[in-house]
Amino acid sequence: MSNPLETARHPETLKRVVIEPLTRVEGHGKVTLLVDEDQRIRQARLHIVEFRGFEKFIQGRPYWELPVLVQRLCGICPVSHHLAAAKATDQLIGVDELTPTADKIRRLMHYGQTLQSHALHFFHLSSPDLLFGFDDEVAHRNIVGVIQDHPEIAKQGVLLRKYGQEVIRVTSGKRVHGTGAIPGGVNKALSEEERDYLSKDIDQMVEWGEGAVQLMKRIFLTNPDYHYRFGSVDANTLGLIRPDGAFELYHGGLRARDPDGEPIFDQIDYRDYEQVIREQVKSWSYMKFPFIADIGPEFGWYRQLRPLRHPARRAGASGLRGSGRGPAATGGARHALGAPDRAPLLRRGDPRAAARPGPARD
Amino acid sequence: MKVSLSSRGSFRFDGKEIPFTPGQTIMDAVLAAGEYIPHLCHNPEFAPHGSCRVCVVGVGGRQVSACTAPAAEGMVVDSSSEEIQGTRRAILQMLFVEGNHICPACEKSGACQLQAVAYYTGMLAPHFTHFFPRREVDASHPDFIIDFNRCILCELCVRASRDWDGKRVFGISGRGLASHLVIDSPTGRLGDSSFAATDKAAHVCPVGAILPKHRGYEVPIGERLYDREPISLVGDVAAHEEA
Repeated sequence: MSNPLETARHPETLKRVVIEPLTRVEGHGKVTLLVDEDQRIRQARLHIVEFRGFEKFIQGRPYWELPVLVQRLCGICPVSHHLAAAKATDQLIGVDELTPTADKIRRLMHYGQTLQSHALHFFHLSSPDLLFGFDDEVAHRNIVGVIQDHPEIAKQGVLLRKYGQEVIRVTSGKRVHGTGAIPGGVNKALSEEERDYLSKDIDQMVEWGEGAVQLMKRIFLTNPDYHYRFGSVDANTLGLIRPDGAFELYHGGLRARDPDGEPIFDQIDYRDYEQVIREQVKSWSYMKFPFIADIGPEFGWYRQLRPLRHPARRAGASGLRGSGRGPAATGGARHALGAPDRAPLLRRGDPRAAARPGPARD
Repeated sequence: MKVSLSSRGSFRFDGKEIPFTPGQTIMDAVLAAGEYIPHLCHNPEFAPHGSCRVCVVGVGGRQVSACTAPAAEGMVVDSSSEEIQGTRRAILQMLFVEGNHICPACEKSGACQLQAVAYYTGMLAPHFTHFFPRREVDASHPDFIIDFNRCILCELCVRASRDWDGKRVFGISGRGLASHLVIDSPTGRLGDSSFAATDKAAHVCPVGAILPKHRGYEVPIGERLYDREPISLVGDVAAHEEA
């Protein structure tokens, strides 16, 4: 990390300000600030406060348990961890190509998660700030306020999220923490009944998703100069891409670009990630600090373009523009408009803005 | 046909009349009548063991294990009062904290008798402090694994291997809290024993301790044995294909 505010020289002389819990994130985090007598921030840290330990306690367990075990890392994005472990165990048993059905079911499961997570992020967490502005009363600037003042928008958010959860349930058996993906494939296909159940509402979901993009665009254009600058941090970006370079969420190569969009590496087999990515740990957070190996820990940190929004996760690989319809639409639009992919948390000039987020946590 | 009292009788079971023949236990008669008493160490194919105590019922102000207590003419058996269900819950809670029973990740979830009986008795939480014992998984056998974390010492595999397979692959060693399942092989590992996938002992485990390889999570959530029907209707997992 290259942030000069990471460690103050004389912390014993500074006043400590703690922001906890963090809102507008899917997960838990804490920010601590050390402030001098002139109210200037001398140290700012984002702490991920949960210790997980999965790397250790999966040791000695049957390999086929891993997709089910590691998904417990998260209740919002279990499918990502479920699929990551399933892909690892695919390799373990020598499966390098799934059946078309298994591939589609896994992808559908993932898209369901992406949809529900984006709906949660955009409607439940961010829309109060976007619709009411940052100066709105705290007691009102939340999802309950949105339900009162904009019931139709709130309803769409709730039902989009529900739809995503239903996609996960149908493909994995449960809305959260199912067992759909197993080493080498999946344990169930969609019945015709389940297919029809999901097809029934899909047009409405797409319409609402596109409506959310338009809403975001309208809000953004009310003050484009401000929004273009808001929360903008130059960073390397890392993302998953298809063979043709298009944005990908489930299976593909790794691409990294520098802040100017110049390639750092491209189409790296994700199984060789350890050749291009290294990890740091810090004493004050359970979050890992990955960085691009060739650039080093100080300047090699990056944003990830990912389906989800954890604390401190700031997406932004370059392949997303014009991703159009589908589950990625809200995140895609945000990026396409040049907006911060995380909804506004802090104003420019707000002293908390110095609490520069680190790279993505998993 | 006239039935003499000496060859046939009946008793009251939660208000229902249950017929029995001499020599039958309360459990035998109740199961034969299509009713249910929760149990873990009992399996009708093997001699009653009476060790898990989950089948406790009230008879004449005393608590007895239904799998070992003989049925008697005119007895009144309580299997559903809160007192009896509470006793069962406490036994189950102790079983849960003694081992490492992590249902959310266990491939036996949904087809596990311990889990199903816990649901039957209305157990919602373990209540007691977890022991969190450290036990290894034995994956040395090509077809089966043993996860000792989930063993409840019911001795069904011990009985099946000894009485059915004629092998004595399994035994219980130690006393009290130190009791544990052991395997008769030079290394103590399953892979070095005479255990085979076709053994009866491979198909009687009521929990996720003895599990076939290559089939983990094969049955989707929602389609597993106790997802479909409660244990009081479908009975032991060993009597079904998912054993």
